[in-house]
Amino acid sequence: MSLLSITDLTVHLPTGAGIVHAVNGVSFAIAEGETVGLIGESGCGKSTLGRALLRLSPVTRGGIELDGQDITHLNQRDLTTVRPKIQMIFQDNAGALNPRHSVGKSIGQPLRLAGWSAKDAKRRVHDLLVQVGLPETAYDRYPNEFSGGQRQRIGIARAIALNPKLIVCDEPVSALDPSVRAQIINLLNDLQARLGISYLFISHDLAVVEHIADRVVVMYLGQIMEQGARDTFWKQPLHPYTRALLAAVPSADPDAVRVKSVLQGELPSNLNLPAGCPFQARCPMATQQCREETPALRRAGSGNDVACHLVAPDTGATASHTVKETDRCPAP
Amino acid sequence: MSRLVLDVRNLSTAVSTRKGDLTIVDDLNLKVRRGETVAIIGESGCGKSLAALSLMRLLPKGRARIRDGEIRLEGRDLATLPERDIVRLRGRDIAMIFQDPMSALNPVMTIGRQLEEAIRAHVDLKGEALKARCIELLRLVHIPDPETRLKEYPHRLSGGMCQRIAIAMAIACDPRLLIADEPTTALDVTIQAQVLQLLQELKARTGMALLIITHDFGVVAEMADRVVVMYAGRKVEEGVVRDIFRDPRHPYTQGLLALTLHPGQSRAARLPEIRGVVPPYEARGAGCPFADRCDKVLDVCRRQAPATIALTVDHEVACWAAELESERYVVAVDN
Repeated sequence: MSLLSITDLTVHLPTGAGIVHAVNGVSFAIAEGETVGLIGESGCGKSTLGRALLRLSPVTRGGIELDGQDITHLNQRDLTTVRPKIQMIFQDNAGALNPRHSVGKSIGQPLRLAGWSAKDAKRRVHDLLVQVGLPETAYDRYPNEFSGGQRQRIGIARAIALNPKLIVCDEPVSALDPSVRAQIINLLNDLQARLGISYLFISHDLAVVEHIADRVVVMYLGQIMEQGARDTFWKQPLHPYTRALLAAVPSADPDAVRVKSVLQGELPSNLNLPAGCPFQARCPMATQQCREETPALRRAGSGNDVACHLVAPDTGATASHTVKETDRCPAP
Repeated sequence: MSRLVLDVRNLSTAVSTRKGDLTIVDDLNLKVRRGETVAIIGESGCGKSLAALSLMRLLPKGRARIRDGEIRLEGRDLATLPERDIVRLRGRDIAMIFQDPMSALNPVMTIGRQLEEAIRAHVDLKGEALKARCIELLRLVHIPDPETRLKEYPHRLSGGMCQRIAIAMAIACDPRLLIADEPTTALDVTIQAQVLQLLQELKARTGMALLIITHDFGVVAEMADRVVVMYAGRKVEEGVVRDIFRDPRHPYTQGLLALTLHPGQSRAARLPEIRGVVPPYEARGAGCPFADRCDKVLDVCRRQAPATIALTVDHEVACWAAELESERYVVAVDN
């Protein structure tokens, strides 16, 4: 049984300019001890989705089930019993910590809220500091005395304080230098091996997701375009958008071809969703059908689930033909 | 070999603090030839950005100053030029774009006004001709519907669009050298690809030289002809891109390259790390600043900072261990 499953999750946020269609009917599941990577461009709704799992964004439609319990409509009081199971770490690790609280107080707060005594909480915090690789002297110091990587460790210590089952990691390493990024990813992997935590790892850095995720979900305009297990996902991505994302990553090989096809245009506004496929405006292969009908997520021959009219369901031959076509993006 | 556009010699830049002056850029030597793309790579706090600001003479007054060295831009020494002469060069001969495109633009001025300002600083254009030049520039950076965009304010545009506008302003007067300080770090990977492609296209069209500052070896591989690796304010290695990727000699360069994630890497292996962090400037002694993080550290590393030596004509490194390893004939570089 999966630890978390969301069904047709929809988050629409009313703003002054109209309704922002942030998440539109997303369904997936996360198993115990599994890491699911969620990738997409800024504004595709991945952070809103992550926040909705913690009930920090209002759910418009659909359901969230955590550990066998439907938490979609729990009230604030009942949510306090669920929150220890699901925690979050953020990209902006400075903004996530109260600058006036000592590190010990910040990490100990969830424990105190869960009813731990001050003495037990303090002992636990010291233990947590060691677990995330911080000196115990950090207890009485303040967030501004630490580097970005160390602050991210503080955020991780706080997130694991109550032995959560799932941590939503929202771009946890995007603001960090490469050497520190590797340290934090290794720490997250170590903690998972030791504590059996599941991660929803939200990131726009494909290389990081490839390294850390067991399964990958690609979002565009609040909808899933493609998802699959790590073995199949990277080997044979089928959706034109996934392929464009992968092609955009600069290859760390000076001999690679420098002139390549680049996906043109930007993510359209989600105030008014386009008819048909969400990606059709930027897709080099869009047909009349794409402009009229929204494609459903179907299992393709590669083993990935793909939402694209042009990818044939469950037959490898036509699918690989389609793949070739996506290499040709129109000139600017 | 083509002509030098930029020739920086022994540049040192210091920041004044309560505890006295701290040297942030330490004895930097850097050459950029015509039409060439040079990348400076290093982590935060390595002095890359301060080096770039020194070249532009945009250091915050009273807080940072060029202490020593020469910055020769096509012969003239920018380090000692009076402010009013610098103003004449900035934008015309040397221009810069920044990491955060949103804050590089003025939020209360239309795109058109800002572009006009950038053009009129050096070229006497008026009325229709000026407007036509603005539209031409926006077309060059592939802004759709330029006539409408001219009347809009920056907040209406995405980060990628703002970076394009910033690039349009920077190239408005055909500079010889464009400095791009982490131009794509704040952008999505798809938009990054677009902006990098745009920079290459403009370079090919105008023949300007490009000095790109980044912490991403992917960007280096994609863009650069030569790489300068900086650590703690010093150049630790320099070479042709292919040499640096194939045969990095400094342990810091090797570490950074190992950190670059490749597609298809297996997960079973832990990611390689460079332990520790860049030491704070006030805590640096006489030795090599990388010594505490280095796996190949020798006794001499802690006593004395290594000099820059040339391994080949275009591959330099500053490392005692690399010097020992190198069986090739080496000579000390004197600048």
